[in-house]
Amino acid sequence: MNRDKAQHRIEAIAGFQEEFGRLQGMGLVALAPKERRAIKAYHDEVLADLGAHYELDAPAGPPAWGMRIAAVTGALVVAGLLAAALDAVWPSMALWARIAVALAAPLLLLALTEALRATGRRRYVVGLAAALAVTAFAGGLQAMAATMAMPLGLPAWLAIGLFAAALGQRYNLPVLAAAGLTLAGGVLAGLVATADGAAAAALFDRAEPLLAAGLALYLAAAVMWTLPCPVRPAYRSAGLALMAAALILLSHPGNSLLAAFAGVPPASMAAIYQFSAVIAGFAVMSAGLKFGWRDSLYGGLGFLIVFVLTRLDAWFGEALPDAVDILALIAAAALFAWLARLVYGLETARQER
Amino acid sequence: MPWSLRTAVAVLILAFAGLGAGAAFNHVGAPSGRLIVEECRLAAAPGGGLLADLFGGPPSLAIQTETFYRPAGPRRPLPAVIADAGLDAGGAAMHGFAAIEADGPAVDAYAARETLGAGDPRPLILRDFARDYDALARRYAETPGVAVARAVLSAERRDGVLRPVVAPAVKRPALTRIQRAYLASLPPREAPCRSRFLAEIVYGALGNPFVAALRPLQRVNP
Repeated sequence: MNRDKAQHRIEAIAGFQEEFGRLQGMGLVALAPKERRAIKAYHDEVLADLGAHYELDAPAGPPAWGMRIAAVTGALVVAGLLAAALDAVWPSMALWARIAVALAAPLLLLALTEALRATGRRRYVVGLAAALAVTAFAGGLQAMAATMAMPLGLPAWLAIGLFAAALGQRYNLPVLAAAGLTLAGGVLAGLVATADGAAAAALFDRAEPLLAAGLALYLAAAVMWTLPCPVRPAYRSAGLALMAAALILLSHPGNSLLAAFAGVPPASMAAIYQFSAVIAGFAVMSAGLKFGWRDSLYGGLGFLIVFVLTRLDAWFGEALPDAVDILALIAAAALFAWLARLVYGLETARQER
Repeated sequence: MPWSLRTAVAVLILAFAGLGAGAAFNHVGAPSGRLIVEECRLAAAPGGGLLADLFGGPPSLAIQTETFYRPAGPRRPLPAVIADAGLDAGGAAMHGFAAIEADGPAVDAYAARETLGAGDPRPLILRDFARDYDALARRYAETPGVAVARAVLSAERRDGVLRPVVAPAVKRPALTRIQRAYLASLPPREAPCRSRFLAEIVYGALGNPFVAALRPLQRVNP
């Protein structure tokens, strides 16, 4: 082996680690912790050996958190300075100039994101540019609505959610995709719940459309199982978030549209939803454990924890003194930590099998 | 171009196009009313920058209103109005339209109830609410000094009685660049306020306001 071949081997190992991490994130492959540790130990040994023999450095690993924070801060400062400059000239700008700025800002940031991706920049840099593009889109719509004295309704928020979800899909950014899908799903549910002209807050009293939107997103991820979708976990996470919010709302009497239509007493309907919430939480966790979906496994656990806490608060919150409340909270935290550890153990055992 | 990128660009363009088309229709369609309002009856502040537009900072010009239920024609009891909107059981606020009066019997009655003096600025009065635009537009078509505005109806309990509260959906009327420049050129208001201009505020086809003209008032020195 010569120096060039050694360099090639080092880069191949780095490429394997990066791609394998991506496949693991998508849930397409799962190795037992024991096997992961064995591969890492082997690679560390090879890298140390090649580095020592040929005086080569291993390729840079993932960027440090300090670097990421500096990049985010820098981007925010630049965006803030641009906004302050625009703020000064905004009152003297004609309508056409305002429209041009509002439209150009997200389009330019979108072009920048595309250029960063094409030139192979790190994913967090691409993600930062994509997040700024979404922010510029939302800001541009708000500025135009204020300029033209048009109320910014739910359809505008649907557009913002879809835009974020599309960028998350395009640039393989699960967090952005999940946020966009959650917003879009929530707004769609809001449009259905407020079809009679009620304000958006009515969604809290009529949470069934939210449940339907969440279920649709979660099932969409299952249907897409055979399709190449790098952000499939984002669909599951968004669906889970919407379902969790809906079930927590519906577990309170009086928040169900169905109860009013079906003539069921609110308390009975709430009890049905409480039972459904427990079943749904365990079903999602089981699916996560069976198929290796960590988002579902820990998302389901998180949902059950929040659900139980909200129920305990609703049932006993006012009856118990504050000191007992705090003690109960500490006991609950300890219990949930133990549960999380148990779930982690189950996950590890399943992977090792 | 991948479908996700095409979707993003299409959503972006459609959203701005929809907003622009709505604003254009509001301007060129049949207006729902025209109000002539003195400066002191409006809120005004220097500024109106981008950050004010984004985060609701001080506006160049804003409409100030009070709810005072005085519908034209036979007056319905308040509990019936609130129950029709589904607000009697603590339901969420409802979107709809309101009759906004600048000059007329409702403003006079409000001023009398609040014992406003001759020199005190009178707020614009939201005197009626309906879910349906056409019904309200027909009812006030022949009434001068009244326009139909997009509004939100909610209810609040005061002194044990549930009362309707109407708020305009848009408080800041659209201004042209020249109008903004004129407002920015004015020195701060004196106290007590002496109006320096009349604003002609038009409520467009969608019930959203824009300023058609700002007419300076001639001042005669004492």
